[in-house]
Amino acid sequence: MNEQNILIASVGGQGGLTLSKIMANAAVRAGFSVRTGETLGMAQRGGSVQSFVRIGQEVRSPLFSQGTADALLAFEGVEAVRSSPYIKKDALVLVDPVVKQSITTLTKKEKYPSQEELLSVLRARSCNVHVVEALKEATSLDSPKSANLYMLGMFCSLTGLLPSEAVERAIDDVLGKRGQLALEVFRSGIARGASIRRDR
Amino acid sequence: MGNEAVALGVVEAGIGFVSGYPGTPSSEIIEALFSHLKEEGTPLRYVEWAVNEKVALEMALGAATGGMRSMVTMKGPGISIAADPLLSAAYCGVNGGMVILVADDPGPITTQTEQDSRWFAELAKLPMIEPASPDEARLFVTKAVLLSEMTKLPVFLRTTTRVNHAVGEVTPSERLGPVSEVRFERDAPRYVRASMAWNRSRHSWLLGQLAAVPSLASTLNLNRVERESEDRKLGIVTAGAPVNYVLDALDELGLECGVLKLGLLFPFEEKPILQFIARYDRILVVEETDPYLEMKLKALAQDARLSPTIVGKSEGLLPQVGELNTGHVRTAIEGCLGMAPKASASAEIPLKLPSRPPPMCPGCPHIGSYFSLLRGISRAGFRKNEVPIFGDIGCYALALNPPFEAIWTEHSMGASISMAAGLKAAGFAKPVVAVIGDSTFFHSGIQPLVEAVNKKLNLLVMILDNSTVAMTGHQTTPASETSDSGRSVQPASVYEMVKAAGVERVSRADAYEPSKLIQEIKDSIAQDGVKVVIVERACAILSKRKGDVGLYKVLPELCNGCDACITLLGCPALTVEGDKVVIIDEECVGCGLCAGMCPYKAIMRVESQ
Repeated sequence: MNEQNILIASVGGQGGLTLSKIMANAAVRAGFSVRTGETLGMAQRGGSVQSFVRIGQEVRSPLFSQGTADALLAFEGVEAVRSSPYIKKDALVLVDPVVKQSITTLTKKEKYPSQEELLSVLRARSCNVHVVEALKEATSLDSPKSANLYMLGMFCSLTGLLPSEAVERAIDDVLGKRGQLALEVFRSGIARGASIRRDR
Repeated sequence: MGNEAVALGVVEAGIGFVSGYPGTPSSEIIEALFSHLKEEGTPLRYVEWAVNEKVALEMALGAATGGMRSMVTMKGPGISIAADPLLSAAYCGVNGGMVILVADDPGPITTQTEQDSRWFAELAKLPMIEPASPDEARLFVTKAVLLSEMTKLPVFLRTTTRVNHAVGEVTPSERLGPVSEVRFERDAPRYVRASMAWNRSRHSWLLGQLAAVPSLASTLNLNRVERESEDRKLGIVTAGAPVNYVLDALDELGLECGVLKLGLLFPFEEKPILQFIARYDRILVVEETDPYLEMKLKALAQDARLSPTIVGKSEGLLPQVGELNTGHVRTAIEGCLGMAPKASASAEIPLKLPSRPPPMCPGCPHIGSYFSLLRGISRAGFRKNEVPIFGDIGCYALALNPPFEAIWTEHSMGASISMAAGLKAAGFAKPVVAVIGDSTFFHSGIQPLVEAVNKKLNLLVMILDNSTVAMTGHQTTPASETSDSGRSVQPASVYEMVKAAGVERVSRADAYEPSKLIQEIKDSIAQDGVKVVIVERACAILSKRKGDVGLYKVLPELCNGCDACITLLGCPALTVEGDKVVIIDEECVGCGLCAGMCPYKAIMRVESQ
């Protein structure tokens, strides 16, 4: 297997870092070599966060170059587009259309682009873009914090990269007691991914 | 994570004593050790955060003097704070293995300077080794301990963010037996630096130990030829995280080049290095930040009368600013071999994206503190741009961003008070303010406060006491009643320390009650002497974890969309939907600050059922 480069784009506090931990944990359980790295600023919450996950037979660098991501998992529209230079042509893009305003857009110093504008940039780079209302779905299952795992379920289902048993054990390992509801959200993401596969 | 791997390495190396001061990217080592401390059969006896890096290093030295294996951890700038004991430690040496872990941050990603701590090995005359991956970081802890015990010298384990914070698979190794007995025998010429004759003789001893390092280290296999090549055109010498970029770049380009990975950075193991560089016509040195290895290799080749062309940063092939990546290395290799560069993917985004300056957290007490400070300055009759606010290191430096755009400086730990005092002493006419957090105050803020009071300088100091080291992941401070390891400790009092420094006007305020705080700032800012306001309110993240929160909501019929709450506070729990302000329930901690800002009384507390 060639190395798979996965980029997770989020706003601090949305669970992007936790997702990269769970993916790395699951990848090791599935017998892969893995590296992750992140770019984050000094804020505890609220800044742009990019997490790089690389899975393969023998992975070395934690980061990868622009134009080399096989998948982008994005929890916010602007952050998805900010990370779009990293994706390969036709990479799998899962994007939650959540809007996280920043102080500059709230105070009207900058404009938050429309969903159409954001999606058209993503679709110009890839014909494999899926809008995933992960936060909404996770909230409907009483676990808004698990939106990241809904996304992961879809990713697993659409790529077949990580076996779900390995992911479930990783969720248990990383989240501990908090993991029970999260597992349900993960499974619901898998089901959604499977239905997309059937529709193709 | 690399830091968790280091922690495992600490246990494998039989280290008993660990101290340090939190600092990204080093903090998770000690965090991970707290759980190893509770394991059965652990070699760990003492794992604690210290008040600063100097104290941490001196304590680790004390432990290693008694034969205990010890480690001290810090981020890059910490080694400057610990430099004084570091240089003396080289003269007395150690009995138990001592590892000084210093984590640099090329980028920089979270650090005030992009400093290259490799120079400290030369300055202190102490051996330094550097791993390239999380698993190697684990393995290198034991190697550092063995090298330290062979040479009787403290050994640097230097890491960078892409090793500390990289996640990767690890394979545990066998463990060294722990040290059981702690003992210390008096040996004044070795441990006392008050005799110049003794100091000269220990300096000679140090040079002798250092000269023995390369042959002793050869048994540890710290350096490795990663690739050999029949083609003699290009050899690459590299170390640490960049090793990965070199190997990835060669694979991407499909090239055969020799690659020598150095694990021992100081002193050089000269023979194998010379053998390697003699094989190639040209040597490219790949390293981050300063051209440290490059300068040393050039000198080494010159002394050995070898003639390969050695190139790197000095020739502009690689940047000295920012962290490296595979792309940089590919371009440098292409440059060395005269290849046409491969076209890279377009980085342009055809849409103007809004910036996302990192905000303070929802309900952060610093929001109330900075709002009150700016309001107090204005009520005292000064304009915002005439009263300098000297910032310090911690979450409260985020006040540089909108909406506050408050701090004028942020330098080293504790510099808020000393720089404010210096400006005032130089004759600055308007009032000056220093803002410092509780942990930073304990770390390096007490001495400048004593200095400012002693010299009767006029400044206002705001100590933001949120009962934690928030930015690095909520470590305890000396004011806590229990340490992070669970040890019962004697809490220090910020208030009593300020009083003991001789400050006459000390007040305590709550960040969630701005009116009192504003009044105190207004009344005291232009007064003579050092005035201190201690703002006490626990970090909102901690309060939220404890469930110690409430909830507010906006009554849409009263909100007229003036956005005063957002513009004045910038709390991320406030957003706009349509033309009304909305509070995001899961973000709100119920501090109530926004309710006080609303001219229309449209924000109300939600009473819990």
